[in-house]
Order: sequence, then structure tokens, then C-alpha cells
Amino acid sequence: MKDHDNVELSPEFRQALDDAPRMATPSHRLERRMVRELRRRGLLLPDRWAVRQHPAWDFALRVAVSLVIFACGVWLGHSLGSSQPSDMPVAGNASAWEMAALVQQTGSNHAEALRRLASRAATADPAEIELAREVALASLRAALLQVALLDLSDPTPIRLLTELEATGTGSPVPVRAGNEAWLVLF
Amino acid sequence: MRNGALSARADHELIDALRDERSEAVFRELHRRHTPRLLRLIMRMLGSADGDAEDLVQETWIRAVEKLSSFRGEAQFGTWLTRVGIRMTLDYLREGKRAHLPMGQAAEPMSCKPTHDERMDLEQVFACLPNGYRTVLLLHDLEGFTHAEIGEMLGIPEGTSKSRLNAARKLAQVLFDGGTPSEAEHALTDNVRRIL
Repeated sequence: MKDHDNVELSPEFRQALDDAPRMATPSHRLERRMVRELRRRGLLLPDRWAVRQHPAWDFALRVAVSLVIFACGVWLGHSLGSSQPSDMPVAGNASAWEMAALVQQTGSNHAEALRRLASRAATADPAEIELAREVALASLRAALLQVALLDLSDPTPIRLLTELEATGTGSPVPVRAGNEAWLVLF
Repeated sequence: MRNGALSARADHELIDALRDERSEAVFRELHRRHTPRLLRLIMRMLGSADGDAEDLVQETWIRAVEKLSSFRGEAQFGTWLTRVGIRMTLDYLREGKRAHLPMGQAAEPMSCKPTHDERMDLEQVFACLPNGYRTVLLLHDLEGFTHAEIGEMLGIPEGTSKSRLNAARKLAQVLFDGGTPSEAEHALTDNVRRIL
């Protein structure tokens, strides 16, 4: 409650005070640097949601999405190759270049299918979308596994598989021992 | 706690979560709720849209999170945070080049841009006021603090807060009506003479 005051303001000035905005929009940079400083001082701990907002994790997520599109193509190509052997080059008689072209082609088809699926996510039955998501994740795991086998010294697919494992989706996880990498199949 | 759920939580629940879990997501939610108002007040206290305002907001939040254990919930969290911000800003004004203006002295040179014969924008009026007067006017007439509360925050007697408010209103009214800073200073001098 305000106290009694001697000097009165004009109605116009009083109205201007009443109408004055009480809020200002802070820059996005402010929130980021505050969080960074509070974490540095040990006053905040990262949590799962926050970790996903971190620029480094944002970058990792983008990399993961790119790998998903690419790796799912590998998996799809493999599946199609198994079901239609006459239409697809097989490892035994196809060159690496042909296989890479196949990965590119099937990857594009797979990515397009996922894009269409995502565009309908808002209106489709949530249960169906969840099922589709599970299938996509299974594809991702299978594809990541093959990418890891392509080059066992590449830490990226191994890290992504570990992330998938950490989220509880379960997957075969390659583990490192010294300079060698091993795939642990469950 | 998921972000969607956080927005539905009351401040006191978030404060408890921040104190117990030091959750980053909880802090972000509190920041979104309270920073816009805090930032506006500090910008006005500084007399401009100074970039220093965001630095002070950051320092305010850091101090508030550090001292969160001392927040007992007697006041609204927003009010408590505002008090922390006001104290930080006053310290900045006292220690920085924007020296605090003691009552009874001539107004400091005004860095505002007056528009002769035209009604001045409210933000310009605030910017033209000397720090000591601007602070009391903002806290009393805009933020709704009592003279007792203002006196406690500024470390001045309650009567001094009232005197400063009267002087600030007089000066602000002259500026708002299109008076020049020198006319406002003259009116302020008359007003001070009448009050004291």
C-alpha cells in the first residue's frame, strides 16, 4: 500500500505511468551465459532436458540425424537386397562404388519415407506414430551397427549407439578395449 | 521434471526444486518468468537501455541463486528477486561513474535529449531524472513499494524517501509537459526549497 504523498501528478502523467510497459525482452545470449556462469560456479547441474539444449549436444543431434538418414539407407538397402536379389548388386559381386551408390539411393528413399511420416505426425494416431518411431529407431540401431563395422576406429557411431543404449532403447553396443573396438552382441 | 510440466508449477515449487536439485531446466523456467520485469526495472534505474542492464540482471540472478537458502517465502519470489536486483543496481550506481545524487544538491547534468514544446516520452523523462530521484519515483509510483520499504532498500530515512518522491514528481511533471531540463531544475530548486 502506498503512503500519502504531497505532490500530485497530472492525470495524463499518471495515465502514462499506469500504461508504461513493465517487461523488457532479454537477449537469448543472456540466458545462455547465465546458465553457463551458474554451472561454472556449481550452482546448477545439467539435467536431461538442459543437456539437449546445449549447443554441443545440439550439434551432436544434427550429426545423429544426418547419420540416421544415411545409415537407415544402408539398412533398407540390405533388406531390399535380401528380398529382391535379382534387382540389387550383392556384396559378393558388386564393387564398393556400386554398394555406395545403392546406399545413397536407398538412403534417399528412406529419408523421404521418414519425411512423409513426420509430416503426418501431428494428425496421425499417436499409437501408430509411436510404432513407426520404434521401427525407425530399430533401423537406426541396425544402421549404426553397420556403420560402426565399416570403420571401428570411428568413435561417432559408437558414441551414438551408446547414447541409444543410455536412453533405454537397448542395442548391441561396441565397446573399446585399448586400441581395439569390439561389438558386444546381446 | 519436463519442460511442459515446469510451466504449470508455482514459483515456490520451482524454488524448492532449484534449491534441492540445482536443476538447470527449473532455473530456465524461473528466468523466463521473472527476468523481463527485472530487466525493464534495471534499464529504467540506469536511465537508458544500457547494455549494463543485462550484466546487472545476470549478477542479480547469480546472487539470488547463491542466497536462495535465505529466501523463506514470506514475500513473493518476484518481489524478493526485484529487491536483490534493486540493491545490485544501487551498488552499481553508487560505485560507478553514475554517482548517486544526494538530496538538496543541484541535479546532475542531464544526458537526456529534450524535445522543446513537445510532451516528452515517459522513458525520456525517466532518463532525464537524476539517479536519486529516478530511483524513488520508479520504486514508488511504478513498482508500488512503500516509503518504508524504499528507505530500507536505499538506506535512507522514510521522510527522505518522501521528500525525494515529491521532488522527483515535480521535476518529472515539468519534463513530461515539455519543459526543458533547465526549467525542470529551476522547478526542482523551488520545490526543494518548499519541502525542506
